[in-house]
Amino acid sequence: MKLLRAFVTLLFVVLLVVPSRRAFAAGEDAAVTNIVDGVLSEEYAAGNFAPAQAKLNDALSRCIRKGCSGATKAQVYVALGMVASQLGKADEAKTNFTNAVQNDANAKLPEKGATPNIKQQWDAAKGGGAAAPEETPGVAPAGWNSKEAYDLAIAATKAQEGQRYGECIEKDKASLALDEQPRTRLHLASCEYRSNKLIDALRDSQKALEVGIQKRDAAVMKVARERVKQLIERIPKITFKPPPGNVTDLAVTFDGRPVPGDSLTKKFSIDPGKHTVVAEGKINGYTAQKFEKEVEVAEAATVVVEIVLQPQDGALTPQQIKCLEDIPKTLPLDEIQKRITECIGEKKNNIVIKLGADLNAYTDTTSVQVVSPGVNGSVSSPTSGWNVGASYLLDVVSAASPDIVSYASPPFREIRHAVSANGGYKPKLYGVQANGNISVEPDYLSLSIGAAATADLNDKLTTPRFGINYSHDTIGKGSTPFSVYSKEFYSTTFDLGLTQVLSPTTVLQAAATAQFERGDQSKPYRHVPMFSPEVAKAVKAGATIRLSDTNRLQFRPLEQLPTERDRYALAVRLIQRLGKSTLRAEERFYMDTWGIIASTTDVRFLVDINKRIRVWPHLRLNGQTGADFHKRAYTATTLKNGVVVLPLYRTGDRENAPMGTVTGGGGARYGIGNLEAESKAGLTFALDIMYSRFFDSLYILQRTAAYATVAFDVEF
Amino acid sequence: MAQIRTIVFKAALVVVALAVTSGCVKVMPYERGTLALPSMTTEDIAIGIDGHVRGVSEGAAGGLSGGGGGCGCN
Repeated sequence: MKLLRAFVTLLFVVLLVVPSRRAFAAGEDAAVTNIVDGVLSEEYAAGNFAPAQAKLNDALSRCIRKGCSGATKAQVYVALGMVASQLGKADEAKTNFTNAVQNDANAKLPEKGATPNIKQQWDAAKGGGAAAPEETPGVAPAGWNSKEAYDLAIAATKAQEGQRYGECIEKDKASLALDEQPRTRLHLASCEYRSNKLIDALRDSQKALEVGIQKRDAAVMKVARERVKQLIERIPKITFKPPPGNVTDLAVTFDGRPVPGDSLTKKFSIDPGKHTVVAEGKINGYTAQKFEKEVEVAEAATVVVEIVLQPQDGALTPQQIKCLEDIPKTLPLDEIQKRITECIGEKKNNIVIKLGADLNAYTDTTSVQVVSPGVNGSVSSPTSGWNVGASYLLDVVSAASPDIVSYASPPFREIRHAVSANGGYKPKLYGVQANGNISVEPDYLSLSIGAAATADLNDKLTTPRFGINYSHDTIGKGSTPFSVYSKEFYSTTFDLGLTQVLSPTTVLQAAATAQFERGDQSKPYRHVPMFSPEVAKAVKAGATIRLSDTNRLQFRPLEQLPTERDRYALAVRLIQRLGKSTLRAEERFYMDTWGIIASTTDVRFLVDINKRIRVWPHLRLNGQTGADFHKRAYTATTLKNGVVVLPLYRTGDRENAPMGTVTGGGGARYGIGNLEAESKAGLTFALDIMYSRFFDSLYILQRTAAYATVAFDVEF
Repeated sequence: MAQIRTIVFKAALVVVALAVTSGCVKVMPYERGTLALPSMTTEDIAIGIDGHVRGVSEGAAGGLSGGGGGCGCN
């Protein structure tokens, strides 16, 4: 009895506590049914077949693990079959439908969401029904107007499964162009959302809703409505706060697209992510105000971009302009300058450093070649008014010194070193400048010093200049030490100049030079041929060396020049700006106590092609008479006592003879790097061809020379 | 010859004086931007070996050796 009572009690407890399999199944049925309904009304209706399939498979697994009724399993299989059909997997659809029927003979398709294709496949799976028609190439499946559109939609779905949202968008758009299907439109919106294109996703969701309403597709309407609501809440917005003050011509762009001026303070819907805002405008009529900002916008955020216009590099701020406008015009000029400096503020960099290097080359038809590299540098303070500079030059000459045109000497190579230094100070209106030079060759030493003073008068429009220069040269011969053989030569030069600003685009300069040379500057290597008076008359200009040697007298004295020479020059230079070009024209009149009169005209026309490139042609004309003592053929006579009477002064230097020179060429300068930066660099090229005609000289009647320069300069 | 030289020099001085004094206008500081351009410098803009070649290949010498000023600036 006791044993029976215990068994019954145990049986009661088991029945009470342990739920029946059916009870278990019933609990899972409800959960799985909810999952299936949710998938069909959301993912399936939105065309998100891959997530739909995944959820349904999970639900099926749950059924298998925990147990569901046959009817519930059939619902899952029906839904899986519908998804497979939409994915174009007809066999899989049929299998799922068959499984559904096997689990529940009363299984049926849901009222909504079954396309004609699905219905045919379902009928075929239920048995006895017409088999789902095989796809006929070129024929659109049921429910579609275009086979191509259908294929594109399938391709878009596969792209979405592979997370290739760009391809998904492209395929869906192409499909919609052929056949407007609301589910395709929703699928497109889904891919756009995943690509962070919320604006496009909202637009397509709204359109899908419209089409769903037109076609009375409740599933589409439900999903589209929910999607639109979600997107509206997630789409970020942007608005702008215009700059304060008297701002005109304000132009604002957002990611390169102009923003209407009267809509700046409205809220614009934008996609989340990085965006660029650029604004330009004028404040108080002054240009060069700019604003640029990159903003990062998150979903659902509202961003306010405050536009603050800033002056560009080099432009004045409104405060600086106001300060300048407040300076009384009646103040003295130096006081005005001081107030201007205070308004603008001290420049951070008060020192300007310039460095340069150049390479020069010369060659002419008298077999003279020169290669000459050089370097130079200077440091200055424009605000303090001081400057210092130095340069070094190396001449490698293939002919004799002191000049590079030496035809009477045997050719040989010579090297000349030249060093110069200069410095000056001009704090306000008055300034002084000093310079020193040393030139050293094996047979020539030149030392010179100079100084000049300038004054800025007439509101800096008139600048007179007075300068003085003194040089002391020691002339040697070959490799003979100066202590053994040398001659001294001195030169003192006074120059008086005037610079006058004639107009905002015109400057005129004038200068007068008086140079007093003392000492014997005769070339120690130059021998001058002598002829008898009868022969001299027949010697023509340009007579060859052979002809001269054949007909000259036996003795060939050295050149002898006067030991005094006073030289005067008067020059004017006109600098005229013409549009984007500058004309620089110079004229010099010259005369000296040796009887030489000369006129030199030099013209350059500089064209600013752009901020970086400047080019210029160059023309120079020079003509001169010969020295009083110059003769083409000098005569010497021998007295009866055997004494030879030579001309007191005699020269073989063609630059003391009548001659004319035409020089033509040009150059260009190219600015390197950022022209607005504090450091500026440039490359300059120049080439000139010089043609000289000697009207009354021996040996040669003409000479052609070419010389070129390549220079690099930098300023920082 | 000496008389000719004197006449030439006097004429040149007159020309320069006329050129300097005629056509002058008051140029305000805010109008001097063009004068500050590199190509408007009053210094000799010949570069490299140019000056040296001129000095040894021409019988004349002297003239403009640098003016200073001209832009109304320091």
